[in-house]
Amino acid sequence: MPRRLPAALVCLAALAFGACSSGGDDAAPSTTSTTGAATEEPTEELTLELVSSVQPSVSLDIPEEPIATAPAEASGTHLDVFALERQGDSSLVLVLGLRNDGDAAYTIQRQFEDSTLKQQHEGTPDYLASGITLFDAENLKRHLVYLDEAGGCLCSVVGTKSVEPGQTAYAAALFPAPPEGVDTVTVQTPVGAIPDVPISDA
Amino acid sequence: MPDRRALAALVALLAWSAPHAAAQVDELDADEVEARILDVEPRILDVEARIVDVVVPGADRTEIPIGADVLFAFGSADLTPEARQQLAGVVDRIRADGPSTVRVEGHTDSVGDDATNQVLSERRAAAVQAELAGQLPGLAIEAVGFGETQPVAPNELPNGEDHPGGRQQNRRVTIVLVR
Repeated sequence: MPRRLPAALVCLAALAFGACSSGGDDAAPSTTSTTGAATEEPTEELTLELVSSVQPSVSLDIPEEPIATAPAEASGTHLDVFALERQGDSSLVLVLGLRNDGDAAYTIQRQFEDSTLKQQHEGTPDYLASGITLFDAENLKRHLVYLDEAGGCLCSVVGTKSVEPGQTAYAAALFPAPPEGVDTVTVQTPVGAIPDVPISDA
Repeated sequence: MPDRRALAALVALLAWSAPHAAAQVDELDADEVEARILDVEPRILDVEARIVDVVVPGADRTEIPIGADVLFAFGSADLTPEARQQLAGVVDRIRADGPSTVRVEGHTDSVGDDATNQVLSERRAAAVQAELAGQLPGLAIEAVGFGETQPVAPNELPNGEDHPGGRQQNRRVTIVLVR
């Protein structure tokens, strides 16, 4: 059943729409800077290009260190979660990174894509982060990325890009939130899963 | 008769949501229109919340497919330290349903040779069987592996490209509750 999100919440969600990487990225331009205060964890500001027409671009502060990490399918690559935040009562924003610790460049194409979306909605762009899901092991539910009223995925474009050794490519998506009391979920992607990721409040 | 300011606000709102009305805005005082736009209520966006029940009920059996990536590292048949937590909901569901038997089915994607995948699926099913048996003493639990022979999604796209999303769905352990 469709839900209605207020514009302010959509704008917060839009923080996660774009895709960028910390260098070596042939996709949208991005800027980075360290903005953390002395008493807080240092953060990195990313300017992201959005898929949705709701917001053309946004900026987002993410911590320098991920809150959860796990190996990905390709040798030398890892999945890092930088944010999994409740936004209001109904949504979660995920910021995910694919880190290349290998010796060779890693090309992202359809690794994070839900190919069925293109079959369901004509005009869906390629290489979206639409295949990322959240698994609520307690309630045995799988949370899929929000779709807007036009069938557009509330997520970023991930590929096509080459992630050089030592670099990270970022993806983001907005999900319906699990019930109150669910403190962790497993982030699942086509190239690996990160179990028991803690959910924080915005 | 509506006053001019109210009319300006209405036209501005129409212009915001319907480009064909933009020409009408040009006929109005620009400052006045801009001022009225600030009073417009925030735009509301419809979104579809997609939450899928992992449990697939049937007439005589209930299936609970769990992604293998959630329970195992790639290529491994050893449960991860987090696997018990990942299976907590499954254990609760088994206790609630009270099945006569439970059958654990292992499946792989198409990466690797058939023989290796067959063995991997059998070992993964056995690992989950052992974990469930430890938490559900006295319950009959079987384990079987199918290798890559029973995919639920294509491992490749029609053009022959790799299909990571399909392979992810195929790497799974399905817990079957038989009534």
